[in-house]
Amino acid sequence: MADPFQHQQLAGREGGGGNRGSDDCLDELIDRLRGIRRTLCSLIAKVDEKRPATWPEILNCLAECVSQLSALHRTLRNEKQLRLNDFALLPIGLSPQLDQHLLNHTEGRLGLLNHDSVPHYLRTKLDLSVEHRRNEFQKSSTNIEAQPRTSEQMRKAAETALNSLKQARPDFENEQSERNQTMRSNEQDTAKLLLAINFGIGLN
Amino acid sequence: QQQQRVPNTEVYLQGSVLKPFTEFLLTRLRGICDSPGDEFRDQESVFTCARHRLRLRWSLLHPHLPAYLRYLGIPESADHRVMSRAAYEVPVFPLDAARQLVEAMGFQHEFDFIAEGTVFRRGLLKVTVYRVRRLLGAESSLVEVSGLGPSSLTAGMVESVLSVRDQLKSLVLLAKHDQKAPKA
Repeated sequence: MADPFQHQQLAGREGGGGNRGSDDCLDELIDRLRGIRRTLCSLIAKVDEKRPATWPEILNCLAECVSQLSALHRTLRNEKQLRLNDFALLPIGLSPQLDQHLLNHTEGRLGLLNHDSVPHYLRTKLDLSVEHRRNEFQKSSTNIEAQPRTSEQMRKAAETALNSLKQARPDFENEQSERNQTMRSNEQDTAKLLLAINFGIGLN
Repeated sequence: QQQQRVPNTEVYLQGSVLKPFTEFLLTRLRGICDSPGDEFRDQESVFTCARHRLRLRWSLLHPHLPAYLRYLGIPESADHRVMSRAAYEVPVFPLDAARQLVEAMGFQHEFDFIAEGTVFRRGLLKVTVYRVRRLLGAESSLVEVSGLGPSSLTAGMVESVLSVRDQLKSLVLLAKHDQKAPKA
């Protein structure tokens, strides 16, 4: 994952502190990235635990990740004050010395801002090997599309599966909700709670 | 025209969840809502006058916030999928003056309760999961999904309420509960 601190660090060097709007905006992005990292950490912790995590726990964790990522996406898209794309980042000072300040800011991940690390952090294109693999994938996907008969068959199979799922869905949902609701909630309690807040009955 | 902007309609669904499953529900809500969820502990005083009720609600955790005076109309189900009712809400401050005002209007204090739980926001909607303190024998938390807004936005809010209901279906059954006052 790209390091949010690095961004701020370089922007700070480049813009002499930056203006207020961009600072706020970067702060918000940093906050969001922190949130995502926290969720990922807890996910990893859950997976690594000796007692295996249950599916609902993992799914909940993933759902949280998805919502955080989409929130981040929204922020990046709707950025009115600051368009990060328009920013040029220039590393002004490279040094082979260990930089304590930088080390603190990156929580110990990056201590040297030198000729080796800067290209990785300022990369705007994919790594050559990654790009190569992506091209391969794209090629193979166009190959699939180029065969209309196969895709037609796939489509038919998918439609059949979808239809049978659709037919089974109401039954499944009824069964599911009946089974869950008997366990997870109690109609009498609902009525009792509503009587209490609506009419004050049952309060002592 | 002014009338179209005043938030005056509330659409809502209610349900309850047993104590051991509350944490599941909260985690799921954290996942699908905009806010991470805020704890609240509110006291609500209900005043009555000729079958009308006024509700005065204030936070016990943040006493410096204004109290809210609410009027809730009679529940109806114009849309057969959700409950809706007229609702007006105004912030009032300070609390004592608000109480005196309500009593001067001829309303009499009926009962008080304390609600304690978590509130989430999702767009215009509010999702609350809370327990009612000092209620004997109910170990469940009440779950409420509601949207309060001008009547021009009602249709959109109905759809959002239903989408929340569907997403929570496996954890809690949110439904229309139209409770009539028991005859004394």
